[in-house]
Amino acid sequence: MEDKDLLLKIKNPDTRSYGFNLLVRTYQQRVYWHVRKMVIDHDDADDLTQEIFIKIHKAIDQFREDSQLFTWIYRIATNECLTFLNKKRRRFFLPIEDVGKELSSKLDSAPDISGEDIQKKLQKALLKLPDKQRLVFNMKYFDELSYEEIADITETSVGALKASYHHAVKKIEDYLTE
Amino acid sequence: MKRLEDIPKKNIFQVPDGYFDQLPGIIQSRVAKPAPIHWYATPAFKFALPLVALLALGIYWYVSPGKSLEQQLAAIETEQLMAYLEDSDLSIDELTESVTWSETDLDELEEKVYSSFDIAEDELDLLLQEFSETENF
Repeated sequence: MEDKDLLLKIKNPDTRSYGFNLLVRTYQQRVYWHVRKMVIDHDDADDLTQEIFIKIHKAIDQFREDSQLFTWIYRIATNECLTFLNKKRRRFFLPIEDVGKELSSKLDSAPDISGEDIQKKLQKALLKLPDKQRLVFNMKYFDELSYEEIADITETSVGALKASYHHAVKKIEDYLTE
Repeated sequence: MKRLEDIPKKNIFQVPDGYFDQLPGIIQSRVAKPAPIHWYATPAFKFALPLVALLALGIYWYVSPGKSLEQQLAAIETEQLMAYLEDSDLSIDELTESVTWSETDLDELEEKVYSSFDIAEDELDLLLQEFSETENF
């Protein structure tokens, strides 16, 4: 179903609940994986995904169709991820590196994380990046979004995003070579 | 130098079985649920609070240690008392009737009232004369 039809169903009070359920089914995996790559832990990702959809439900009437529905959803998810990581840092008075270390140790210990060593090493390299740079990298590399789409989500210029991505790649390759 | 493109793109994270089948239902139930009402916002509490406050105030006034009602009233500033009485709907007659005057109070009151009449004797005679003439007229 097209986003336009989804939104029509949500805006109609008789089909609102059904329309929203369809929206969740359509976007739940993209949102969840976007969040999971940022917070690593499944329980945190689960909580955040639910909160994101509740926010979407509350704000859907304010969505103006001048941007794509999925970029709007990604923007909410991205903001929620950054807020969550900042809160985590503030709650435990942790510097950026320590949150990275904590998440990095989860990569080794969590039973729901598999994969070859090189892929785990890639994830550990990503955890060394600042949150915003990691988000941009994930959206470009894993989600294969275009720079224009990422620019729409992050409200940044394409040029800045390209620079950020190439800088991130360089740092990751340096780490992988160590 | 290890190149990023040499690493196969693979999702290393997993979710519990059936997670994505259950998630829409969980979200739907959370969205449909009305916002939780806090205990302090319940109607019973809203009405009970002023009553409890009044009751507590009453008990305090009643059992307040070492202070009689008169003492507590005496502690109120005269200006405040006057301002309150001016704002109230009580008439002078009602106020006077509600007070039990003691002998001393009455003496003090009379003295205050008559001391304000500082009229010389000849003026008083003149006034009395005028008054009697008016009465006769």
